[in-house]
Amino acid sequence: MYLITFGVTAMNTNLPYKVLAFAFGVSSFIVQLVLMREFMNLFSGNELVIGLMLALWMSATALGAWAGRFLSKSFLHRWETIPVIMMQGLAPLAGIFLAVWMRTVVYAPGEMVSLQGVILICLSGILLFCTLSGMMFSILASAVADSAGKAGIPITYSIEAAGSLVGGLIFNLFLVNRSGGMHLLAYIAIMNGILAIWYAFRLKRAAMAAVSLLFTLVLILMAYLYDGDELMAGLQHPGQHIITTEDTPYGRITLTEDGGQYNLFMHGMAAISSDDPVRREEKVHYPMALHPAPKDVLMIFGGVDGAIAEAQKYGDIRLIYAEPEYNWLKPTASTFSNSLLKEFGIVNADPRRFLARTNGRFDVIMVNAAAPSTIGNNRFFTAEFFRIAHKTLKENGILSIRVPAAGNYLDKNIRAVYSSIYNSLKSSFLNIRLVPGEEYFFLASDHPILGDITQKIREKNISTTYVNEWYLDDHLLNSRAGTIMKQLDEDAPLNTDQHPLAAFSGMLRWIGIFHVPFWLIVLIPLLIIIFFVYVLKPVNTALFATGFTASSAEFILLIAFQLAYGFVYQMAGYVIMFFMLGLALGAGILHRIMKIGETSFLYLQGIIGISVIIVPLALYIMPRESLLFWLPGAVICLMTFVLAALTGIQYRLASMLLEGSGLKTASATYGADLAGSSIGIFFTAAVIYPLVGLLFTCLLLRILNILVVVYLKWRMK
Amino acid sequence: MATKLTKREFLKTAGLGGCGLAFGFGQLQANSLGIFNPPPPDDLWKWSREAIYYIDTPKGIKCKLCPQACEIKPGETGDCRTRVVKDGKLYTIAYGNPCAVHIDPIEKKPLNHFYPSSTAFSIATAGCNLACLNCQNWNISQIGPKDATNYDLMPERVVEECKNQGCKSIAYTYSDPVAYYEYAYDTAVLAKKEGIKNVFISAGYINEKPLLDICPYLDAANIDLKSFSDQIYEMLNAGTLKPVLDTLRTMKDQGVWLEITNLVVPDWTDDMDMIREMCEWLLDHSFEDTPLHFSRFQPLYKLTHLPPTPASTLEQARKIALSEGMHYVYIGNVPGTDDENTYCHHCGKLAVERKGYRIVSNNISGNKCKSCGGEIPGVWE
Repeated sequence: MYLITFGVTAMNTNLPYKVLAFAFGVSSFIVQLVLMREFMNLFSGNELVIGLMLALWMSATALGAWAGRFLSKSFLHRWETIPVIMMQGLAPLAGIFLAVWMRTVVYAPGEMVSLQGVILICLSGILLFCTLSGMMFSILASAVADSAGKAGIPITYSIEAAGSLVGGLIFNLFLVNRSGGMHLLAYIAIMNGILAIWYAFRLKRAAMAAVSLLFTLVLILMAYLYDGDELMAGLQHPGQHIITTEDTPYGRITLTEDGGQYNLFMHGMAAISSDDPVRREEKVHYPMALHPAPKDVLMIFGGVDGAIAEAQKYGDIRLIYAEPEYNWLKPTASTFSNSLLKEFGIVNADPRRFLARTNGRFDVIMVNAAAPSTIGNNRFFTAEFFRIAHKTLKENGILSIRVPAAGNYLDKNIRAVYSSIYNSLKSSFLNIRLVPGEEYFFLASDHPILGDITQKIREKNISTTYVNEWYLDDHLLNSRAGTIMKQLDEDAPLNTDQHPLAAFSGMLRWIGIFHVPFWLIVLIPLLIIIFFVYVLKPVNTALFATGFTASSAEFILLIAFQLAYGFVYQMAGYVIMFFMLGLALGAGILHRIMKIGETSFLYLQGIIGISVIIVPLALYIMPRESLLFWLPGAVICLMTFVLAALTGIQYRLASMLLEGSGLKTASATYGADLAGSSIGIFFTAAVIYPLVGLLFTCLLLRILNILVVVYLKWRMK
Repeated sequence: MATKLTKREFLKTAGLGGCGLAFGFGQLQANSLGIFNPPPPDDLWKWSREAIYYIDTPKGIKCKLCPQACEIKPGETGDCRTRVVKDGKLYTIAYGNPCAVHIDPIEKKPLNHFYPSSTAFSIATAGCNLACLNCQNWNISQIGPKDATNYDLMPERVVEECKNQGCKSIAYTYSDPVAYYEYAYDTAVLAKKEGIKNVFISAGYINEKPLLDICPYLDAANIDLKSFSDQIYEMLNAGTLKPVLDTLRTMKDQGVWLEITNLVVPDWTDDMDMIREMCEWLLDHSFEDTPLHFSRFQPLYKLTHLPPTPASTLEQARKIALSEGMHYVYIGNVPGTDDENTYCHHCGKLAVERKGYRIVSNNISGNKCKSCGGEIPGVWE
């Protein structure tokens, strides 16, 4: 047994450090997922925001790990450790309140946040927690290394990963659907409070133990007295009376009331409002009026604002409403006065999966998905989806797709989106018609979609408030549609699952609004990569590259989950959990299959590159929608695990190969791994994947690994 | 003989090569989406004309068209993105190149007391001298003409097209006609000669001189009085209140038929005290017969985290305006409401029944209410 004796106290084992590492693993996992949710809700973010947030997270942690090397080894034996533990618990709560406050101060009420704002607000929310986490890792790993030798660093790495795994299990199995984000963060703060009490006792610091106890009790009391989630919703939606706010596997739903009008915010954005006949009627009556006699109707999303009742005006129809969040939206539907609804079928699952597996055939399919500005939404605008929808339509059936409105001018960005979606529709349907109302709709069918809308409404004797001859002029509508259709580019590439051009255009639109040039997003990470390759030692460069590859692959696998199931919000927990399991086992146990040495290290680098190539192959081969529900998820989790295990093994080998003190090694390896991860996830999410699609992203990652192997071989000579 | 690379050289080569590859590949992919297209230079082009209102100051060229009073240096554009300096002169680059051309019902502008049920040949070039966070035409207004895909439609052709399409009027709309003033002016002069009406749909952020010069050619205008607070104007629109109030007075004095729109944005301009104050000002300056439209906000452009304005808020605003003494107050963007009808302010009877952009019944003869004979202001026929 290794005995360390310092002036104030003695610790005869490194168990306390392992406990701390494990606990920090638990908390950092939960905090990361909760903050990701909160930020996504705060910014109504796309994949670029996810990538950016994770990149900032890892960068701040890497910074902390690097800063950790400047602390004295005796830090863990001093009383200052205890307030750091408490601070680490409180930091996420304080951070999220600071972020929301900044959002309301820096930005005007209701204003969209710019890319620069996302960076600023995200950083303010996570900086303290992440730097403390990184710093504590370095110190703990160094302390464990003091007794266990250099292996102590990967051991701490795997213990922290194991903690994350347990955090993932707790989160996914017990917390995700039971507690709001603020409650979860409060639990983390309380956990750290308890940890601080325990650690104070270990250090025999009675006064600090008392302070920690008081801190914990105050937190428990506040968590009991205040509903932090409602408080946050109130801050985020000023002037609105919050009726309810719920987290679903897809995001956050907040129902508010103002001046007798009910408003539903989905993921922070104003989605639907009562008393909005324009939006309610347009999505239903354009396809329904133009179909000769709709009987079997499928409505995907967007029915709770009264659209279902609108569809039921067409006599004796058989309506199925596909809405995976229906359980959460049901109260909204009743709030929006849908009491006169006739019976209709509910599909409480992913609509795309339902379409792929149903035997039913439809006259009209209305897709009211949100704009394809994220990869998640984009899956209802792709050639693959249109193929599935086409198969389920009857001979003269109509598919209706709501697309972002162009207004009075078809700008380059919207033109690219329309052209891509139009061509994707064309790959399955013979006839496409555009209806440019207040919102824009593409109608697709194998039969010509003829006739004037208001005339058809009149003929069918449908009573409407807005879609009628009083508000719409068929001639002007058709003329506007003709003008737009003429401008579409028939050679534009298809919008596909693997290469989501519409989502990329949505991202460009967002950054374009704030005049951020795209080349800047390409250039900055490139310069950072060059900088790191220049300053890092060869082994750390390899770790940097592995971090880059692994986090990029993690992102791709998250996207694969998104494509397979339609939601990444909750499932991100599972993917990251398997990632952590792989890391823990890789660094802790599986490393034994490899000999410690430069040759093994090089081989491993090559194997990591090859494993990345397997990802797109598996995803291409896998017929996602028609498989058993759990199978795609299992495949994705398995791939995640393998990749992470390889990363863990490499981390272990790198730690053993590097010379220098435990603290410096821990700081350098952890920092390099995280720096690579942060650049990797950002670069992949924001640049590579949107630009070149899934297959080429994986090929580029493979090339990167080959380059690193060549570089290492050259440098290690 | 092979030379051994140093680490620095290797990195330099690899870095440059990597950057080059990344950019090359990115460029290839991105060009199809128009990502890397550099902004065109500020050279003059076919659609440039020397601007009318500017002065040469010791500090450089100063635009005198609108209260933004931009001091524009070579290589720059004004706030409106339509004005550039070349050889010591100010030029507009928005002349004869509208990017939006549509035919709209006149009620859509909204103008309820101006040739009801007629259509307006509506044009706009890119650019605007304001930067409203909630702009519904932001993809036109917040870019310059050189970033847009434009039609080639010189004033003569606008007038010709308007006649061909059977439109009663030309509406200078969507972005803001102040940004393409010279184009609007020349078109308005030609249109007037041909008996076509000219309609300005504007935020009214213009200096007095240019306004006075164009007024003789304008038949009607809808001025967007966005709020009644300087602070909100600054934060929401990048403008100020006073010039807009001046515009209202000038236009009224010059005999342009005027209607006012007030977009009620939740949390921004839905303060009923402010609305009352605005109505008091309008009454103090004899605007009681000027139709006032309270319009519903929809989440657009940068204000996507706000819900649409509740109908009850608009109704409340309307009630306040009526109780203060405004005669013709409407609610816009809320289909199915009775508040889009015109009621005679003398007898309270229904004068014009509207449904959307159409007239269901018209009880006005000449400018008189058929029920009581009272005058209902407007340009009815």
